[in-house]
Amino acid sequence: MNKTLIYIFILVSLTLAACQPATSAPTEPPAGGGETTERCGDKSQLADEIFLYTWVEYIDPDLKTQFEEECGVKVTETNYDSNETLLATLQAGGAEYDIIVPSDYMVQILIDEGMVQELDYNVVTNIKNMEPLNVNQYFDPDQKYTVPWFWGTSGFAVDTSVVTDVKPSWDMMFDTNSPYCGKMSMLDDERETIGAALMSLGYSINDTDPAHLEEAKNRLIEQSKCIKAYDSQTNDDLIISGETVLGHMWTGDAILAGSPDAGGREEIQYVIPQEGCTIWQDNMMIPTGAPNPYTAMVFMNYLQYPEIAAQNAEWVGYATPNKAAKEFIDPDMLTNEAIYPSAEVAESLQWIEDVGPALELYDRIWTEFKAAVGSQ
Amino acid sequence: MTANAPAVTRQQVRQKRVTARIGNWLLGTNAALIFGFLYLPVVILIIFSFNNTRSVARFTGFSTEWYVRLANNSELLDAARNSLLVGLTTTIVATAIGTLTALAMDRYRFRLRTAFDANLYLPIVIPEIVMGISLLLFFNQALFPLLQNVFGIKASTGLHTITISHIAFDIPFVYVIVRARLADFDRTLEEAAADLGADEWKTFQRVTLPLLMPGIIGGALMAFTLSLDDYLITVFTKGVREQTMPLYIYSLVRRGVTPEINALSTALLIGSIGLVGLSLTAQNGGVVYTRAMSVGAGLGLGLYGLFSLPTLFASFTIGGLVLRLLLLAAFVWMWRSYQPYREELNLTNPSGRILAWITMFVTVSVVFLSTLLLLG
Amino acid sequence: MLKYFRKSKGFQLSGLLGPGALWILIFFNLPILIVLFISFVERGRAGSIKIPPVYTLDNYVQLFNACTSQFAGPECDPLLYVGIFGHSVRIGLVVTFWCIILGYPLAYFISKQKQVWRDALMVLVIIPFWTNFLVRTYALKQVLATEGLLNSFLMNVGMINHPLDLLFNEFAVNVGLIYGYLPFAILPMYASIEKFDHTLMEAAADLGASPARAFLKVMLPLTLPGVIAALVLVFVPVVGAFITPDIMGGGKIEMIGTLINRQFGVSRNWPFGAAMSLILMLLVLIGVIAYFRSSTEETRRGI
Repeated sequence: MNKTLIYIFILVSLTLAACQPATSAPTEPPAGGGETTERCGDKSQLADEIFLYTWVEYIDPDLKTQFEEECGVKVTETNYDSNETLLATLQAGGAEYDIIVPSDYMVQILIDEGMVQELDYNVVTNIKNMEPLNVNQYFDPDQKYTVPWFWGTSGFAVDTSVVTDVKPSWDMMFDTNSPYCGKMSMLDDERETIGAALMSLGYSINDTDPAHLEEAKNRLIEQSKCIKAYDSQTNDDLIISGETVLGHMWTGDAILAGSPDAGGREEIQYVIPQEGCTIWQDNMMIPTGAPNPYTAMVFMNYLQYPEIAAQNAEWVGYATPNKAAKEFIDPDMLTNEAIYPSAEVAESLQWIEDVGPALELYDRIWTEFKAAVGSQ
Repeated sequence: MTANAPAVTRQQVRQKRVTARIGNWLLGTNAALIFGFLYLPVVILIIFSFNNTRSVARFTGFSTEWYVRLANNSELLDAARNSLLVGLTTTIVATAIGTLTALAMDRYRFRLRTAFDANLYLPIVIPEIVMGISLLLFFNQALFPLLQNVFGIKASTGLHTITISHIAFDIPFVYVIVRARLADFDRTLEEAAADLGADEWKTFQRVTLPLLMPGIIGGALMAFTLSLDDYLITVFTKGVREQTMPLYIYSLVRRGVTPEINALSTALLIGSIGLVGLSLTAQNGGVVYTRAMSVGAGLGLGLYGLFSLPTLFASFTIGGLVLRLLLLAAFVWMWRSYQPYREELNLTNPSGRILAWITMFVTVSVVFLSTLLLLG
Repeated sequence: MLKYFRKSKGFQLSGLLGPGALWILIFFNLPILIVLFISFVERGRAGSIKIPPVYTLDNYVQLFNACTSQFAGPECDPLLYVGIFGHSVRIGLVVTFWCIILGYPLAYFISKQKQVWRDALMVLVIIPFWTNFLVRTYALKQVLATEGLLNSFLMNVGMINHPLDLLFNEFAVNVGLIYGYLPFAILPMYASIEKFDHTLMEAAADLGASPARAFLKVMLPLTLPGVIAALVLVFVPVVGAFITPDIMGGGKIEMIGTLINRQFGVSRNWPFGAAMSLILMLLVLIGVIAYFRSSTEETRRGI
C-alpha cells in the first residue's frame, strides 16, 4: 500500500462525490405529508423549489425553513451586492430567478425595460397590509409590479459624546471651519454623496442642471479636506472607534453603531437633515421568464402575514412597510426615530430616481471630483 | 591560469566568510520580516474571530460564538465547499493546460507565435468585471443557444460555468510562471536521456517534469489562490443555486462583515497549515510517520463512511452506494496497514512513538473533517 | 505508423498547444469580441446597449480628450482620464518595484534551504492568501489605523507623539497593494531562482568578483526570466486594481480600476467601460511586450 494508491483513492472518491447531485444532504420531506394551510395558496399549483436572489442577511432563515415545512416548497437563496450586479445578470439573460429584490430606482428601470412581470394581487392579498407611505411610489405608481420589502433613509450619524451642538442640517457635514474637520466620513456613492451636496445647497437629489452639479462638485471638493474617508462599508466602525465623529451613513449601519449589543455605543445617534435626506425602499419583484411565478407570489404573500413580517423585521432590523405587522413588533423598535421617522420628517425625504442620460454627467462630475481629491 | 592567479590571502578568506555570514544573516532577517508582514494581518483576523461583538475593527472581549454560528451556517459552509471543489478542479485543469502551453510556446517555432503569446497575456490584463460580464453574455447569448439549436442540449449557468471561467483566467498565470522556469532550460539533460535510450515520454516523465516541478507547483498555488478568492467573474457566471465563499462574503459587505467570516478563514488557515505540517512530517521523518498517516487516512475515511450511512438510508443513490463501498474499502485497507505500522512503531524510540500517534490522530481528524466538508 | 505520427512536429505541437489555445479562444477571445462590439455602441438606459445599436466612436474619443463629451463642463480638463490612467501606472510601478525588491531576497532565501523546507515555505508564503480578501484587507487596515497596531507600537516605543496618518491615503493604497501582490512576485521569481546554480556565485567570488558584482553579472541575468514574469504578474493586475484602493485609500484615490468598475455599476455605461478596458489592455500589453522584447535581447547580448 503505497502513496500512489492513496492519491488515486482520494481522487476517485472526490470524483464520485462530485457526481452526486449538488445537494447530497437530503431535504426532509415536509412534516405532516400533504396538508398545507391556507397561507400556502393553491397547493396543486405549487412548485417544489423557488429561487430567491436578494441582498444578504435580508430574510430570516427561520422563515424559509418555516415556509418549507408549512407549504412544502424549498427556498434557495443566493445573494448580490448591488442593484447594478442584479441588473447586469438579468440583462445578460439566462439566470432564472423567481424573486428579486431591487431598490426603488432600479425598480423603475426594470419595469421600463420590460424585465419584470406584473403581480397577481389576488394571490398577494397581503398587499393591503402596507403603509400608504410605501406604496404607489414613483417607481410603481399603480402598484402593479412590487411588494414593498424594507425601507430606510440615509442621513448621518453623530457621536454625541464629542459633538455637543447637534443640528439636523447638512451644514454639520459641510462646514469646513468645523472643529470636527478631519473627523468626518461620507458615503462613497455617486448618487448619495453628490445628492447630499445637492440637497445641502437646496436642490433636488435628482437635479440634472449642469450648473447645479458643478456647484455640488465644488462643494464636495472643498469639503474633502475635512473628510477622513469616503466609506460606505466600514463607516460604522470608524465612528464607533472614534476615528470619525460625523458619518454619512444608511439607517441600518447607524443603528448598529448606536447599539451596544452589536458592539456600538449609545452616544452615537442618527440625524435626518431637514434640508432633505434620501429615502430608499427595496421591493420584491418577479422577473419575466421566472420558472415558478405562482409559487413566488405565494411566498411573497406568506412573508407579509403580520406575525411573519414582524418576526422578519425584528431579525433584519430595518423598517418594515407592513402596517399590520407593527402590532407584533417590539415597541422600542417602533419608537426609534432612526428606523421609523415621524410623519413631518418623512415629508422632507427624497427618493433617488434614475436621471436618464444625465447619469453620464453624474459620472463625469464624480470622476472629476475624485481626481481632484486624489491629487491634493 | 591558476599558476598566474594571485594567491588568496588568509585575510581575504576571512573577509569572504564574514561577508558571507553577514549576507546570510541579512537574508534571514529579511525573510523573517517579510513573513511577519505577510502573517500580521492573519494574526489580527484570527484574534477578531474570537471577538464577542460583531465588529471586525474593535476587539471588546473573548467569545467563541462565531465558530458556533459558523458550524450552524449551512449556507456559508455549502459556499465554502463549492469554492474548494471549484478551486481544486480549476487548479488541476489550469495547471495541466498552462504547463503544456508553456512547453509548446517555449520549444516550437511557428507562424503567429508572437500573436499567440500576446493573446495568452490578455486574460491577465483584462479587468475582471469585463471578463465576467462578457463571459455571461457569451454563455447566454451565444453558447447556450448554439448548444440548444444544434445539439439539443439545454445548458444553463452553474458551478460548471464558474469552473470553466476560472480555468480560462488561470491558464495565463500558470503559463507565465512555468515559462519563466523553462527559460534557459538545459536541453542537454534531455538529450542525454535520449542518448541513454529513453523515449520521449520517459524523458518527459523522468527528466523534464521533475525539473519543472517548482514552476508547476508555483503555478498551481497561484491558480488555486486566484480561484478561491475570485468574486467578480464568479458573480456573473454562477447559476441560480450555488454560492461560493467570496460571493457570500462580498455580499455581506452591505450589512457589514462579521467575525463569522474570520472564523471561517481561521478554520481554512489551520487546515492548510495542518496539511503542510503533515506533509513535512511525511517527508522529513521516518517511515513510521508515513505509515501513521496511512492508518490515519484510512481511519478518517472509514469514520466518515460510518457517519454518513444514515444519509444513504434516507436517500439512496448509486453514486452514494459506490462511495460508501469505497470508504469501506478504505477502512479495510487501514486495517491491513495497521500491522506494518505497529511493527515500525516498535522500532522507534519513545518520543518518536508519541509523535507518530499524534500524527495519526491529526491525520484522522483532518481527513474526516475535510471529507465532511467536501462531501457534505 | 503511430510512432511516426507521434514524432511529427505538427502533431506534437497541436497536442501541446491545442487545449490551451482552444480554451482561451472559446472562453476568452470570443467574449472579448462581444466587449469590442459593445465599445463601439451607445449606452442604453439599463447600461448595456441601445437596441437597435447606434454606432459611435465617442467612447474612445472621450478617453483621450475628456472635453469632447456633451457633458463636459466649462473648465474641463481634457486629460481627465489620461491623468487617472497615469496615476494608476505610477502606483503600479511603485508597487511592482517594492514587490520585486522585497520578494527576490525572500525567494533566494527559500531556494537555499533544504529540499523539504523549500516546498513547505512556498506554501506558507501563499497560505495567508487563502483567507478571504476582504477580511485580510480589513485586518491590514487595523495595522495602519490611527489606534492600530503600528501607531500604538510606535507611540509606546516613544518614536512619535501623535499617531501618524497612515490610512486613507496613497501610502495605504501602496501598502495594501504590495501586501496583496507580493506572492505574485515571489512565486515566479522563486521558480527561476530555485534553478540557479549557487556554485556559480562561489566561482565568481573565487575569480575575484565582489558579491555585488557577482550578483549583477551572474545571478541576476540568469534569474531574469523570473523577475520579468514577476513584473508582469504584479504590474498588470495592480494597474487595474480597485477594491484595495477603495478600502485602503478611503475612496480618495481614483484609479483606472475604480473607474471601469463604476461604468458597470452605478454609472450603467457598459460601452464606456468596455472602451476603457480595451484601451487599458492594449496599452499595458504593448508596454509589457516592448519591455519583454528589449530585456530578452539584452540578456542574449550580455551572456
